[in-house]
Formats: sequence, C-alpha cells, structure tokens
Amino acid sequence: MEVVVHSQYHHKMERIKIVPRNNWQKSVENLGFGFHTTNVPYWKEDAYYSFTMDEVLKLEKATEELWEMCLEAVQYVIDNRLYKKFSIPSKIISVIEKSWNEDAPSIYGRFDFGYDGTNIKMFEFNADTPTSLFEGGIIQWFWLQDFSKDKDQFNSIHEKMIAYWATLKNYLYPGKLYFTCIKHSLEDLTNVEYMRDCAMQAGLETELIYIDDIGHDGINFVDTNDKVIKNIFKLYPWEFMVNEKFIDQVIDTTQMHWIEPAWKMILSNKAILPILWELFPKCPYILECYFEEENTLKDYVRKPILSREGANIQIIKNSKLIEETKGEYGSEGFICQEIFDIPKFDDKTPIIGSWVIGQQSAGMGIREDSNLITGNLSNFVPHLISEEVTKFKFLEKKS
Amino acid sequence: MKKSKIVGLVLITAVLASCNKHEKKNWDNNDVYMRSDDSAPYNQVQQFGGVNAFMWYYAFRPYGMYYGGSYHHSGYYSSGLSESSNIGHSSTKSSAMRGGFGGSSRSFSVSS
Repeated sequence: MEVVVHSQYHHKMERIKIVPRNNWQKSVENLGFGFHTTNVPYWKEDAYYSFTMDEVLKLEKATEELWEMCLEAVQYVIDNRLYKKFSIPSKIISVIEKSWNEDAPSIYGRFDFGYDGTNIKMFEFNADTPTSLFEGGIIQWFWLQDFSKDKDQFNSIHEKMIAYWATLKNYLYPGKLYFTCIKHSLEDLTNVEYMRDCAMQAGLETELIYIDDIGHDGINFVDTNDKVIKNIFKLYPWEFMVNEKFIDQVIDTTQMHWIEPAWKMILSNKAILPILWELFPKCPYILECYFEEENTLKDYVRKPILSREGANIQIIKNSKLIEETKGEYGSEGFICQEIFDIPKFDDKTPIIGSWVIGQQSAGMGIREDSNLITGNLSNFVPHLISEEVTKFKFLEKKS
Repeated sequence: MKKSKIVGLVLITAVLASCNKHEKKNWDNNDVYMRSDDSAPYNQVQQFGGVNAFMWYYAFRPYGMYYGGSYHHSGYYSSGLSESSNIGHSSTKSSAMRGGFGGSSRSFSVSS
C-alpha cells in the first residue's frame, strides 16, 4: 500500500529572495536564452515565487474552466456577429468562421492572472501570439534542477507541447510545417525555434521562414525556394496581418493551415472581456467589464481592445487617473475592467501567466513589475511548489 | 506531479546559443561585403539587433525552383543582404511576390 501525504506546511504564495547561481548568465545562454538581459535585466533569479500544491491545483482548475468559457464566448461572438465590437474587418470574417467551423489546428494560449492569495482573476488572454514560452517551459525548469531538484514546479509545458504537435500531425496537410516570425527579434526567434524544436521532437518535418520572406505565386503561399506552404505556425498577430498586402491571398488560399488559426483573433482581442462578463457574471475568475461606451464602473482599468505589452493602459480610481502607460494603440476602442488589487511582494506586482496547451492547463510563468501595469520591461522570475510530496510505504500484514 | 520529467532540446540550444556570441567591439573596422551569387552586386552585410550576421540562423538559404520533377538550384538568399544584392538580375528569384507580410511590426518584438 502506498499513501501519498502532502506536508502540512501551508504557506501561501511567497516571494523568497535568494542568491543567483554563479555565472547564471552562462547557464541560461547555454540553453539558447540570449535575451535574458537587454538594456535592463529580463530574467531574474535573485528571488523566486513559492506556491502550495493547493494553490497550483486552483490555478490549474481556473485555467481549464476559463478555456471552456472562452470557447463558448467565441461561439457566441460568431452566432451574434459581434465583429464590429472587435474592430474585425468584414473581409476576414469568412476566414475566421471557416477556421472555427472546421476546427482548424490550434496549439496554445496564455491567460494572465492576478492572485491575491484567495482569488484568481483573469486580466486577459494572450491567445494568438503569446510569448515567454521558452522561459516558462525550459529556463525556469533548468533553474529548478540547479536550485532544488527535489522540489516540484507547475510546468509540463515541454511534454504537452510535444504531445500536442504529435496529435496535430494527423490534422495537417501533407508536407512541411513552416514556422515564421519577424526578423531582428531574438526573443521572437527563440520562441518560434523552441516551438519548432518541440514539433521536430513530435516527428514533424519543419522549416523556418521569416515573415517577410514568405512569397505568393498567384495560387499558393511559397517559401524562398518557391515550394508551396500548406501549414505554417506564425508568431505574428492576425491584427497585423489583416492590414497587410497578403491578407487578400490569405482569403483566397483556402487549403492552408495558419496556426494559430484566424478564430483566435476573437480571443486575443480585449473585447472578449466584456463578452465573458456578460455571459458568465457569476464566474469567480472573471472581472466585471464593459465596453467603454457602456461603462458604469468608477474604479477601473481602461484598456485598448488591441494593444501589446501593457501599452496605452490607464488605471482610474474615483474618476481620477492613477497610473498610465504610453503607446500607439486605442484607435479601435477601449474596454473598462474592474480593478483587482494584487498584494505587492517586496514592492513587486506579480502577474501569473498560465498556459493552455492542446486544451489542457500546462504550467505557468511569473512576470513581476515595480509598476501596477506589467509592461515589456517586467522581469520573469522562476517559481516552485513549496510542499514536498512524501510517500510512505506500508507493508500489509499477512493474516 | 506537475513538472516535466525529462526535458531535451534537439534544435534550439545549438542554434540560438551561437546567436549570443559577444560582438566584436571594433566591428566598424571589419566591414564585410557579400552577395548572394554572381548575378548580384556586393553589399555590406547588416547586423541584427546586436547579433553578428554570421551567427544568424540560415545566414544563406538555398534558393531555387521545382519544375520538370526536380529541383533546380539557382543561388542563395540571405536576410542579411539588401534586396539588390540578393536578387541581382536573376529572373527566377523574383518569380513570386514577396514582402506581403511583416510591415506592421512597430517594435522589435510582436510578443504579448
């Protein structure tokens, strides 16, 4: 008989300061992590976050339930043709609906959560071009091997990614699976090459092509050798693609898989947040939220429906502006989301990025910021599960 | 258990670790001029966001076409070179329309 007992130490989420590994830069660079520091540090290991297993189970449950609700919300948006609220151009609707109705291959997404020790609240869903996958799946896992190998981590990103690519293999068109991103971004290239690494381990034939090297021969999209592209994973947002020259070719080229598929335009748009609130007002994970023109909240966060990395966000309390970030977004409209206060840890505000891979909760990465709004200068900090799982073996007495 | 048991990488470590070599400080004194093939003029190679062009993955990609049941190699293409040094006067290299995506990126990353 084997009895699994979780230890009785139930410290809730904590931030624990530690001494970084000697020459940690070399350790992470050897894994292929070249953007750990830009002008300021991005990866930081002078602290880690500790969670109990109960907390991890709650995060896992929230992630899977929210994923189900998000799928229902997509169906609602399509059924009620709410595309204008999402500022989605009418010419792309047929592509969105075809990808949804045909259940086009989709692999991942990342929820951003706030957590106050009791409540988990969803801030947004990065459903189209989420990043920090490599840091979450690989870098923090190898950190844990060096720091405390006997501890656990909420992280099965790597094997879930490989397993789901293996599943999707049966749904792709014959031929290579291409991977694409912009030039000049080591961060984007690293994320894409990590995805490609997982796909290769799943047995897929792959090739990298930069987004602006993709060609069109009048019938099909082609690679730099003019070979036809039938399947492509893109780290490039649909919201950019719809305003670019090749979108007409996307509409005309129907026998091709774009991963993430076009229906993810609905989920990656912050207009989904008031829709989720409308559909699931009793859900404990969803914050009260409205389109700006219907807003009744006095204390709220005002977000553009299309924005990246915390740009153009305002925090309003009692109709007064408390904090804001600059940027170039906002022309498509705003939503207003209830404020959710996250406790500060050593003067840092942590955001939990919780991954969905192939319909399942797959792990998390934590970014922290000194400001209330998490932007592109926030730090990625590793985590572990504080409880040790102890196994007691009892020999059953023979009568 | 929540963590991965075995984590192995087949591609990324070697490729991306090489992208992270420190730049030579006196790069300006080491100008390098390249062309994709002899149909194109030489041009100075670009650097990518602090990454040495020679370290960049797929520095030169083979370029050709499939016709008549086989592959016909017609040169090499590099994202480190200007369009004129890539294409030159090779007609096969410009048979497909390119550059229809990639123009909207307002920053160095599209991450979210």
